[in-house]
Amino acid sequence: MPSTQSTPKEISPDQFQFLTALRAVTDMLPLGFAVIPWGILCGSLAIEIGLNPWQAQAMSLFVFAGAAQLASLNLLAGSGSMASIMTSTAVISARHLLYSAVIREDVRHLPLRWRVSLAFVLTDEMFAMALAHQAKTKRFDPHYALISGFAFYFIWNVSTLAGITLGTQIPNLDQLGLEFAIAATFIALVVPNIKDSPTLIAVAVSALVALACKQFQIPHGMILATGTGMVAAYIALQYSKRNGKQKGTLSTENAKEVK
Amino acid sequence: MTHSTESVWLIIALMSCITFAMRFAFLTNYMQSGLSKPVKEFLSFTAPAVLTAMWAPIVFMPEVTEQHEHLSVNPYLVAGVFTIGLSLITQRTMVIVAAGMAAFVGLTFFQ
Repeated sequence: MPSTQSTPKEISPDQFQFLTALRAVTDMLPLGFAVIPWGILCGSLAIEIGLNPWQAQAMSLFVFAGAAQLASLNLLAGSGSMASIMTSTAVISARHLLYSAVIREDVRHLPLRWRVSLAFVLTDEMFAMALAHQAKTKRFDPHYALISGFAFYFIWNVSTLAGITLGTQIPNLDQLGLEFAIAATFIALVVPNIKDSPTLIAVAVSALVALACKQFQIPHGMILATGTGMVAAYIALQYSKRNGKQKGTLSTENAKEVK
Repeated sequence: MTHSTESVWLIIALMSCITFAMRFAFLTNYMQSGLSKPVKEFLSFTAPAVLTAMWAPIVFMPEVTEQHEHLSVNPYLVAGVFTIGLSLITQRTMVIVAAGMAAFVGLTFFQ
């Protein structure tokens, strides 16, 4: 729409733009709907393992990180130590370092309250939406990012509340296999994204080390598995880069021959 | 769960600090530069590695509880492999999780 693209380039971040807000919310709706089951799962699982409703909701209100919340609930259920919960939270949310590094140049001139608010709602989904919007309009819009981020925050917390209500009303919800639901969720997040051999190696090595640690009762298996998986994948990436260059030259030669 | 109410509150508070720190790290004005390319490449493997470290033991080495003891096939393993197979065919996470859960529930109730 030309109406939003023709807005002045140097606009104060405090100026509220109704159209941008509307677009940010509607753009976020599909991803928002997709996250409802995870929110319900987080809320009901928290109740099931013994958190009180306030704690279950506080987790979504303040931690606001689906995978990290599910993982910590999984550890809490197995009476994991506080150290293991913090380490898993740090490792799982480390990808947000990447996101904040990417949007850094676009937001570092903004006042502190803007940067704090944007950081608070920086999720996989908000990052994806903000970058898609940037690709379309050729500029990073903090209004768009903030509003889509908070729209997602709202949906996440309402669905957590729904899960808490379900969890308190239906006992033995875990018999429906909530632990398996976590596994299925993580499989759905990981497996379709295995698009190159380094990622495949990250997954394979991490799985094997995690299973070996469980078999031989080695402590901190999850962290050990994650670390070895990442290192193996990184080595594989460097190796494939070196080989890729050679293969690249070969394939262009082959292409010439075919012609 | 063996944690007390107070320690759960402490866990939630510490987790909130960690997730916010990760998101805010490069938006502070104290950071002089962003991440180098090798660090970015390395970090890009955190999600697949850590999530797999959690799902692999649930699927391949489940602790069989009393309620599943009588079953002839392990619902975690069979439904897990089914879910992996499904996620190789389709990219739609909702479909994968819904069908995977349906397989699990089916295996536990109708066996």
